Amino acid sequence: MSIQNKNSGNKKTVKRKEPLISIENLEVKFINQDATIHAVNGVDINLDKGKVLTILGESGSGKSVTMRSILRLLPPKASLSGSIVLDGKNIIDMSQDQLSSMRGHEVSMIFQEPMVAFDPVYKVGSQIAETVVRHLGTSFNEGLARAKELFDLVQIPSAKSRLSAYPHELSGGMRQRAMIALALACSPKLLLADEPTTALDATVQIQILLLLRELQRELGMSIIFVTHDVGVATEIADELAVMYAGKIVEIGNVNNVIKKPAHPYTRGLLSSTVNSESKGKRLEVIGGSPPDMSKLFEGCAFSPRCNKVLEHCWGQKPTVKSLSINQRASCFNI
Amino acid sequence: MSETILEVQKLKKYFPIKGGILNQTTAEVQAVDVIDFVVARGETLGIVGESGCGKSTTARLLMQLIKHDDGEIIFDGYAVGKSGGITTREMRKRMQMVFQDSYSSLNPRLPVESSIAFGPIVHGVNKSAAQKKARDLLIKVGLNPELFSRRYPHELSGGQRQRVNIARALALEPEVLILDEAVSALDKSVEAQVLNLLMDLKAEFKLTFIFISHDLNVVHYISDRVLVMYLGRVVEIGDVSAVYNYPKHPYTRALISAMPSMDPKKRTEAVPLVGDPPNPISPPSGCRFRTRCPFSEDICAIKEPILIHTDLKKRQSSACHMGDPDSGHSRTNLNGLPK
Repeated sequence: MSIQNKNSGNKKTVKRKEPLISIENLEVKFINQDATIHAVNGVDINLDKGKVLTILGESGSGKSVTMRSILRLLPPKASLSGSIVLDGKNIIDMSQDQLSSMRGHEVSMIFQEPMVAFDPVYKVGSQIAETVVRHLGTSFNEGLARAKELFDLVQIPSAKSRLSAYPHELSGGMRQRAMIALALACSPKLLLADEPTTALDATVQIQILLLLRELQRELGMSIIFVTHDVGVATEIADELAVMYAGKIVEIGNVNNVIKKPAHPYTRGLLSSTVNSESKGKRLEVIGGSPPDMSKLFEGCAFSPRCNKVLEHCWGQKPTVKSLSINQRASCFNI
Repeated sequence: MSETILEVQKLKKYFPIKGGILNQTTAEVQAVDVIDFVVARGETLGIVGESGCGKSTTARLLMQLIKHDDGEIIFDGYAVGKSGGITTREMRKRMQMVFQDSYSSLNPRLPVESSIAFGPIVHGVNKSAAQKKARDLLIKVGLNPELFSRRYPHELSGGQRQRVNIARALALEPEVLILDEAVSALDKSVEAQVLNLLMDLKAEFKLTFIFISHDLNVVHYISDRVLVMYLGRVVEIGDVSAVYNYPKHPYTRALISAMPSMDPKKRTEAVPLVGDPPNPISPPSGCRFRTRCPFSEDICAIKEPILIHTDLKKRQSSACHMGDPDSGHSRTNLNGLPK
C-alpha cells in the first residue's frame, strides 16, 4: 500500500498489483446553512488484499468520515468528490441498489457501540441469518446454521444458546464479538472497523484485538481500522496512516511510523501519549487546539501548532514526500 | 497536621434493584463491598479497575454525593457526618471533585466565571472577591480571563471546559481533589496538556489527588500509589512501581498485561484474561476473581481472601490466598506470581 504522489505525474515506473481498494483525492464537505465543514480534504489510500491499515487521528480529524465514505454511510448534506474504487467499481457513482448489495457483502463495518448496531427487538442469531439470506440467497435455516458457525469462529462460548439471545442480554465483549460475526457473515473482502474497542475495558479490548488479528489472517481479508489510541493502532496495524485536519499527514509501515515519526504532528502525538517510560518526565505536548474545520487552510493546517513552522508553511500546501519505500509524509521540513 | 488526610473504613454501598408489583427490592448491586484504604497528605492515589468495579461509586461516596450504607470516612482525623466529627458541607469545602463529562458538569446558563465564583459565594465570600478569584484561577489553568470569563460552556472546547472544571474545583482552596476520569474524554494531545497542568497545580497548591481512571498508562504516570479494584473490592494496593512491576494479585497482572504495547515488534501474543467481569449482583463466592483466575483452587471458592495491610508503611499488599502461606492454597506469590 502507498499513497500516490500526485505531483510525480507518471505512474508507470513500477508495475504493482491492483490494490483491493483505491481512494483518490477524496473530499467530503458537510454543507450546513451557516457553515461548510471541510471534513476530508484530499485523501489518497491504496490498500492491498490481506493488509490492515489503521487510521490514527484525534476527534474531528476526518478519520471516521473517510471510512464511512467507503460505505457511503454519510448524511444527505455530505458532498463527496474524488474516487473510491473497489475491485474496479467506483463507489462514488453507485446507485442505492448497488450500494445495498455491496454493504455487508463485499464491505462490512463494525462500530464502537454494538448495542446501536443491533436491532434491540430481534434475536442476534436471526439478525445474522437475515443478512445471509439477503446477500447469499439461502434459506433462513441455512442462515441460522451459518450464524452458529460464525459464533464459533468469533469464539462465543455456548454459541448455540447465545444465538437466541437479545442484544441486551449479552455483555459488552460478547456483543462486540456478535457484531464481528454479523460483519463477517458474507465473507467480506474488506472490513471497516470504527473504534470497535474504545468502549471496552482493557482486558476485553485486547481479546477483541487479538481475535480480529487472528480472523484477518485466517480469512485473508483486508481491514481499515480507525482509532485515536496509539497503543491499539500499534497492536493491529500493518500500515499506519496519521490524519490531521482531513488529510493524511504521514503514512507507512507501522514500525517505521511509530519508531521514526517524520511529521511534526505524528511526533507530537506520540510524545504526548503517556506510556510506561513517561513517569517522572514532563509530557511534551502539542500546544493549541485542533483546527476549526469550517475554515479552509491555505497552507499546512498544522502550521498554527507546529514547532517547526517555516515562512511558506502558512501559504503553501506541502506535497507528499517519500522517506523510504515504506513511509511518506507531507511536510516542508522533510 | 496528620500525615493521613483521608481514611476509609469498611465502606459499603449496595444499590437496590426494585421490581415486581409491589416495587420491592429484588436484588442488590454490590457496588462497593467493604473497602478500606488511606490517603496520605500530598500524594496521588490512583484507582484503577474495569467498568463496574466500583471506582466511581467510591469517588461519589467520598464526596457524599451518595450516602454509604455502612463504614466510615475520616477526613483529616474527623469522622464525616458524625457528632464530634466534620460536617459534609465542611468536608466538601476541603475536598472537591472533577468529573469526566466536562459539559454536563457545568451549568449551561452561567458564564464560566460565575460557575467558578459560585462555590466561594455559597460559602460566604463576597461577590467581587469571588469574581476576582475566578479570574485568577482562569489564569492558573491557562485560560486568558479577558477572552474566556464571559463565555458559556458551549463556547469552549472539551479541553478548555475541563480546565474550567479544574478551576472551579480549586475555587474553594481544597486540600484534596478527586479526579474521576477527568482526562478520559479528551484527545491525546489535549490530555497531555491537562496532565501537565494538574502536575503544576498539585505542586503549587500542595494538593492531594485521588485519580480515578481506566487508563493504566495515565495512572502510572501521575500516581504515587495505586489501588486496584475488582467487583467492589480492593484486590491490591501499593506503590505504583511495585504494583506495576511486581503485581501480587493475578488480576493486577492480567490488567497490566492487557495494556496495548507501544512497540509494533512486541505485540501482545496471548490473551491475559478471558471473559468479562461477572455480574456484581451475584458475585462469585469466596474470592471474586476466582472465575477468571488461572490459579483458582478449592479454597478460593470457600474462603474470601482479605487485604491485610492497608497502612501507608506497607509498600504493597494484595487480597489473594497465594500471599498467605497458611491459607491452604498450594502456590505462593511471595516471590512473584507463578508463571
